[in-house]
Order: sequence, then C-alpha cells, then structure tokens
Amino acid sequence: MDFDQIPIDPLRAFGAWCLVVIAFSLVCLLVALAISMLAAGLKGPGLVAETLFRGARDLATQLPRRVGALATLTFRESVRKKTLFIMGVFILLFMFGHWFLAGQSLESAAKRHVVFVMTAVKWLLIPVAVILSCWGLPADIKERSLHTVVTKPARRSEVVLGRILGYSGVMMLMLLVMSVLGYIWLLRSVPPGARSQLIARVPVYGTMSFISREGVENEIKGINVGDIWEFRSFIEGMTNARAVYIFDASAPEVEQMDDLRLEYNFEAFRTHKGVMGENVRFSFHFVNNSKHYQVKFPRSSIPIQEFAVDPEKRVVIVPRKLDTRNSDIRWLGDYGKSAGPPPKELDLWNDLRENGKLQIRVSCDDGGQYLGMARPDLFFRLPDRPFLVAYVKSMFGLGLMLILLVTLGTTASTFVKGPVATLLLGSFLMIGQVMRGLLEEHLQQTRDTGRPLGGGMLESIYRILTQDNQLSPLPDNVFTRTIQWIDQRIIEWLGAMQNLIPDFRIFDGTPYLANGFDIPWAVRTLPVILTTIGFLIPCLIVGTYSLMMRELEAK
Amino acid sequence: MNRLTSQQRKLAYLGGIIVLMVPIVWLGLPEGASPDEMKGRLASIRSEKDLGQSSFGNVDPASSTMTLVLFGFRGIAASMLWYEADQLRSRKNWSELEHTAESIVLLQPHFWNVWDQQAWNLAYNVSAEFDDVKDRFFWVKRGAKFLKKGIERNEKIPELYHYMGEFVGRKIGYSDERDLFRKFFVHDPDERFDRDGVPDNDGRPEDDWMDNLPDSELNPDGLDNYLVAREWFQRANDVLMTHAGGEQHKMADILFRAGPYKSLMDYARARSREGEFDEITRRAWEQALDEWLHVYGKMEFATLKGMIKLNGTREELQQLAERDGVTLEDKLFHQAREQDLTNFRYWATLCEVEMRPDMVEARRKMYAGRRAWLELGDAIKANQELLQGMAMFEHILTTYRDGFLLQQDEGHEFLEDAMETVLLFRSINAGKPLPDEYPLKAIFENPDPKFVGIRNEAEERFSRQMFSQ
Repeated sequence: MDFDQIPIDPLRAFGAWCLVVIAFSLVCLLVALAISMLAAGLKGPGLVAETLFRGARDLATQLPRRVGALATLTFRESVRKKTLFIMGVFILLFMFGHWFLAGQSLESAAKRHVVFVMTAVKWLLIPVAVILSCWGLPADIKERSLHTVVTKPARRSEVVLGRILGYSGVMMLMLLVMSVLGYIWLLRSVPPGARSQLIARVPVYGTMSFISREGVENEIKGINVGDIWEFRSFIEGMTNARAVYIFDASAPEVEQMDDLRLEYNFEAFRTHKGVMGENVRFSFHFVNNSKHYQVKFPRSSIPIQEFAVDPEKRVVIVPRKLDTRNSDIRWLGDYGKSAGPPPKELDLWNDLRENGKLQIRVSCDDGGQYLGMARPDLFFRLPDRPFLVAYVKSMFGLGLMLILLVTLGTTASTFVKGPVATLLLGSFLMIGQVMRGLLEEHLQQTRDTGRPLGGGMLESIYRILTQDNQLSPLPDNVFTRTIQWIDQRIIEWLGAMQNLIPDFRIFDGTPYLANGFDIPWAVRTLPVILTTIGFLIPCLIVGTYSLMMRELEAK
Repeated sequence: MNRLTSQQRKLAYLGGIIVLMVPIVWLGLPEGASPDEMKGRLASIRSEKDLGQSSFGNVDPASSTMTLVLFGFRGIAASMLWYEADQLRSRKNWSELEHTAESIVLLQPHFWNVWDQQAWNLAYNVSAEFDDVKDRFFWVKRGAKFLKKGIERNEKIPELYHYMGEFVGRKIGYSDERDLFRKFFVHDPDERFDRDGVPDNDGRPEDDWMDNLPDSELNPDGLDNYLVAREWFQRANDVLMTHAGGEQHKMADILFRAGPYKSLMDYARARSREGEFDEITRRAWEQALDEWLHVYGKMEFATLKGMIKLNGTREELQQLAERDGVTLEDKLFHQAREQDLTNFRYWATLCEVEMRPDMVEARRKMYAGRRAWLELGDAIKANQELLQGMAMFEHILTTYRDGFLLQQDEGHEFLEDAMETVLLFRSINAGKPLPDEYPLKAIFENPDPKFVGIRNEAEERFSRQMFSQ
C-alpha cells in the first residue's frame, strides 16, 4: 500500500457528527426565525415552532407499509422510464474494453482489469443516480402527478423516504447485474498468467517508531534521503538505527497461525553502487524486553525484493518454534553476562510476545546504504480470502455511495428544481470526489502556515496573470490585501463545508481490490456505512421540512 | 411574418442542405482504398504533404478510437495524464507509471517527445531506483521497448531511432552496470528466456541465466549490444536522409551521423576490455578505422561556407569550393573546425593504434594481470603480467608518432588506461615497497595539470570499481 490506513473511531466520529448536526440545525433555525419574523412579525417564532412540531409528528408517525408502497411506485416509474437501458452501454463497454487492455504486459494485468471494471461501473451508475434522484420529484410536481400521492393519507417524510428507497432499489438492481457481469468478465478476461494476482490479502498492521543511528528510541521519523514523497523514512545500514514495529498479537486469528507470515515492502536507497548484482539486505529482530530475548530471523540477512510485483516474493515465513539452527537467539544487552547461555529454542508467541504485543525491529545490513519504510510496509499476513469476498465488499461500498447520492439528490430536489438540484449534487461530487484531496491539502496548509501555498483562489489568479511564482511576496497594497482577505473567508467557508460534503473517495474500494487486498472493516467498510447513515438521517429531516413548506402547485 | 407554408419551408431547408453538401463533399471526401478513387480536397492535400495518420507510421486502432471518443477533450485528458505520470513517478509507482505513459501515447501518438521522454524516464530514472541489477536491466529494456513502439508509430522521425541507438548502445554499454548489462543483453536473466529450465552455473539461482536466450523483441539475432545500436544509428541516418530531408533537432548533424561508426569502435573497445583479443576484435578495429575515414569521413556536412568532408583531400575540397563559390582556404578552415568538433583525428588514431599487434599484446598482458589478481588473487603472476604489459604500453605511448598520444588533447583513453593500470599495480603491492622504477611511472607521476586531473579521476573510478568487485 502506498498510503497509510487509519481505522475509524466510531465514538469520536459520532461526537463529530453530533456537533455538525447541531451546528447545522442551529444555523437553519436562526435563518428560519429571521425569515419568519420578516414575513409575519412577532408571530414568526410561533409559526416556526408549529412547523417544527408538525414535521416532528410527520417523521415520528411514518408507516412502513406506506413507505414501501411509495418505494415500489418509484421503482416501477424508474423502470418504465427505461433507466435500465444504461446496462446496454455497460455491456458495450465490456465488449470493447478488451481492445485497450489486451496485449499489455502480464505485470499488474489483473490490476488494470479490476480498475477498468470498477471505473466503468462507478461512472456509469453515478450519472444515473444523480439524474434519477434530482429530476424525479420536481418532474412530479411540475406534472402535478404528486397530487395523486399527497392527497392520499401519505406523509411528506414517507414521500421522501419512499423516493430514496425506490431509487436506491433501482440503483442496487443495476449494480447487482453489473457486478455479476463484471465479475464474469474479469474471470474470463484477465490473462491466465495474471490470475494469481486476483487475491484478497488480509493484513494486520502495527504501530511504528524509529531508533536513531545513535540508539535514541521512540523517534517518530527516520532519515529523510531527499525524496519528494516523504511517505517513507529511512534507516542507515550497519548502525544502531532500527525501525520498530509493534503488532497486537493477541487476536485469536493471529494466535491460531502455526507460522507467522510477514510481508514487507521496503525501499532501498543507495549512496554507492555496492556489490554489483546483489541486493541491499536487511534483518528482522524479534525483541522481548521483559524476558531479555532478541532473536534475529532468519540467521542470514534477507535481500530486499524492491518493487517486486509478485507479493509472494516479499513474504518471510517465521515458524512458531524458533531454534538456533535458523535463527540467532541472544540475550538482550548485557543480560547474558549473568544469565548463562540462551535457550536453544523459543516459542514465537509464548517467549517473544510481551503483553500480547510482538515487537519486530528492522535493521539494514549494508554499510552506507539506507532502507526506507512506512507503517503499512510491514504486516502480518493472515490467510488470504477469496477475491470474490473483496470484490463484493468493494461493490457494497459503491452501492452505499449510490444510496448516498440518491439521498442527497432527493433531498436537494425537495427544495430546488431539477437542473439546480443536479448542479448542486454535481458540485458535491466534484468537491467530495475529484477535488477532495486538493481541498484537504489546502486546509492542512492553512492550519500549518496560516494560508495555502500560493494563496487562495483570487491570489492564485493574480499570480497567474502577473506570472508570479507561488512563493514570492505580493506587493503590499490595498488590492492585494483585499484579495487575500476575501481568500481567507473563502478558505474558512470551505473548512466549514468540508463537514457537510461527504468524502466520496472512501466509498471506492478499488485501491484495495486492485492491489490484491481485502477491504478492511474498520478502515473502509464501517466508515462508509456510518457516513451513509450519517447523511441519511439529516437529509430525511431536511427533505421532510422542505417538502412540507414547498408550494406544490408552483410550476 | 413568414409567408411560406410549412412544406415550402421544408423544401427550402432541403435545398439549403443540398447546396451545403456540395462544398462539404468536395472538401471532406475521405481517401479511397486505391489511389485512383476520387478523394476530397483535404484528403488530397493531406496525402500530398504527408500529413495523414498512416504517413507517420502504423495506425493504432485503440488510439484513433480514443481520440474520437474524447471529442475535443483530448488535450485536457492528455494534460491530466501527464500530471498523473508525474505524481506516479514521485510516488515510485512504476508499473502504473508505465501504464499511464501508454495512455498518454494513445492520445498523442505522433507527438514524438512523449515517446522519447517517457522511454527515457523508464530506462534511466526508473531503472536507477531499483536495487537489483536484473531489475534495472528489466526497466532499461522496458524503456527501449516503449521507444521501439514509438518508432513503429512514427517511422519518419530520425531522432527516435537515434535515441534507440543510445539506449541499446550507451545505456547498456556505458553505465556502471555495463559488465552485467552487456551479458544480459545476450543472455536475458528473465526466467521467461530460460532455454531449458536447468540451472546453468553452480546452482546459484542468481546466476541461472548463463544459457538464456536474448529478449527477441530487442535483440532477435543475439548480437552484441553495440552492433544492435549500430543498426539503429544506421537506420537513424537512413531516415534522416530519405524521409526527414536531412533535418533533425537532437544535436549537430555531424555528431548525429557519427553514430554507426562510433558504435563499431565501442564494440571493439568493449571486446578488448573484456579480454577478447582475437581476430574478430582486430577486424572490428580495422573496419571501424576504414568506415571512419572512408565512409563517415567522406560524407558531406553543411558549414557556413558550404559543404565539407571531414576526410576530404585538397582536391575534393577544391571541387566543393568551386561548386559552392568559396575559397579553398574557407573549406580547409571549416574542415579543421569540424574535425575538432568530432575529435576526428583522435578516433582515427585510436583505431589505428588499437589494431597494432604490439598494442593487442600489451592489452592482453595487462588484462591477464588484472584477472590473475582480481579473480585468482595470484599477486606474483599478476605483477609479472602487468609489468610486461605496462612496459609495452609505455613504449607505444612514448614512441607512436613521437609521443602524439601523450601530447594530444582530444581524448584521454590511453592515459586513463595507463593510470588505472598503475593504480592496480600499486594496489597489488600495497604495503610493500614499490620499485624505484617501473613502467608508466613517469606518466603516472607527471606533474602536468592535465595528467594530474586524469590521475585524480582514475583514482576515484578505480576505488569505486574495487569496491563493487
């Protein structure tokens, strides 16, 4: 993996969600009060309270039967509008997709095919979800067909929820068909020589720190060798420098393993060519401080298989019983002076685990060379799961993204017309998917230095027009101060909007699937479920109130 | 108010359409399958000016489809892909980078700088990131193969052929890994080229490539890398003169066209360095000299005063002067200038000296001494062979045309070899007192700044070589 994976903390996430919802509700309430007082004077707050009460009653007295009926109606309507025809385009794409993918090297061939399937499914279904959800309600209002519903004993919240469920049903049906076809296509199209790349590795990651070349422990970073990309930190060969990984080895699935499979993905940085034809080498050292053991396994150093595409080449199998024939068992530090010879054999879990944690230190064994690594570059590899499992999880994530889009689109369509709702949802997608990385980078730069590199939007335009670089100071005058002030406000607004616009990137399981990893529950699956629910609830409330207050006679 | 009826309006539209169709058909009718078939004006101009897709090289259907599908967004898509390629490079995601480069060339198949730049990226920048020499070689090949594909799409760009010659010749033959790279070029270490699956050496998996086949995509005949490079350089020259109208934008024309002849010298020199002192090597030097003087030396190159020949006689230059309406002195002046630019005299001398039997013998002795020390650790034999070789080498350097090889400033190969041999001799005898006098000592200890500079560089190179042995 070339990115770090941070598991979600559900409690913290819930706290943040509550804060955002409360803040958003307060803003809405204040706006509603202001408008009502402008329109109705002192009676305004009373009207607002009454509306709030009506809405709450509407939401609280939903009947699943009626919601089900509305959802079924929406589903039928969509099918009647020939929405499912999009699957024809999908089939067409797959018929010719092979043109672009065939004939290329076997290396990472599976990855390219997987990316193609996931991209095709995603970008065919997203426009359908946007158009269906954004245009459905406004079209019904315009054609007055919504009257046939609202004149019946159906509540506004039931209409919104029914719509969301109905559209989601259509999207799920299409996703199901495309997923099945995509999977069959993958199995048939990936060249036989590359099918072994269709795997779902299950990693267990640890925490990481460094020991400096002078032996100082708990350093956060190693050495920077000048790479532009600072993902990996480096340790110097033949010095005290070590990378220290600590794994939680108390989980039952870890304990059940007879042999520990360690997979690494280190990088070498050479300061000299070294011995031509030989790899830079490194070692694993298992350390138990309380029992004073330090075991180097294997006894001889391991050649780094840098950038090897086949992950099996970078797997070291550590046997449960470590004996002195294939490992170097020693007492730690000076302990051996009084303790006598170390035992001939050690048990990986019983002797080397300390409080359920296994500490592994990595050393570079070539003088003058450096070894680079990041937290995800060393992990326990549990038994692989079938590729199908990861594929299903990946499609599940995509399905939730479509549901979220439908939810947002339906909500938007309750207070604006179809084209505006489409534009709004399109902007959400643009910011939440395409520009999210840039947005986060700018906000991070603002947090770190007070402003993004090169300034905000207006300052950037000014610099482009004056052919100025990102770092040179601007002339100090009223104009530049004004544009910087406006930029600052825009950045602050974006900071606030960051919490209201979902991060659509987390729904995409392709990076895992394409790189042969299972989709992790705490890092990907749980966050997407919580995000979807987190938006569904407020959207339902907003949609209900909007529809309640909307003039359904209006064209 | 419009007084026309609906039917009349429709007929008027139809008439308008037909009238407009005439110039559209006249302009845009596509090229027919045969030259006799009628074609539109634009198609005619395209084929006249050699601007059609097929006139650049092979047409890739996927590329054409991609261009059509993207409508006018090709430029935006290409820019995004370039940005992505840059990101992937800084993130060291090499397989994705190559894939992105493939996508870029789908969109810009005839923008030849894409091929050149991305191929260079793969062969030079990406390969250097790898730790294992086999991996580095694999990526050099990837770059070369990528460029080869670019040549197929752009058959009339001489620069691409020239780059290919540099990849195969100089990247493989001049880099620090050249000893292994040159062997890998003939016996590819990739297991897909294993002839029989039987371990070749002493069972060590890392050496299990000795009887492997070459990668047929780059070296179908299993030739030396310099000979393959020579073919590419020759094709570059042919394309330059036949399709590009003698125009290229890579380097001075006179240097560009020297490729095939310099490759032959590289080939002979590499064989000498690797201890192949046989008739093939001697003939290679002989042929290199002959071609340098009588093929390359007789080519015409443009100067400010018309055409000159590097090895043109006074009579030939006189004829050229009369043809171009300038004086013989002008021609002689520019001939000398271009000779300096190409080190023409030096390379001729190099070939001449290297094919002499006494030089071959001197080199053989020095090679045997080096081998005895580095491979067998036999100091006595190494000293014996080295001293004999050094004495012969010194004799040639000091006596050939009254010390021309020591005095000239154009190239320093001989002096570099002399310095490195003395360094090896001193390293063998480290810790022991050196004799007061030994061959090449005067050259090694010469205080002239030119000699000191060459010695310093040789010392640095020597220590690096010793470290990597």
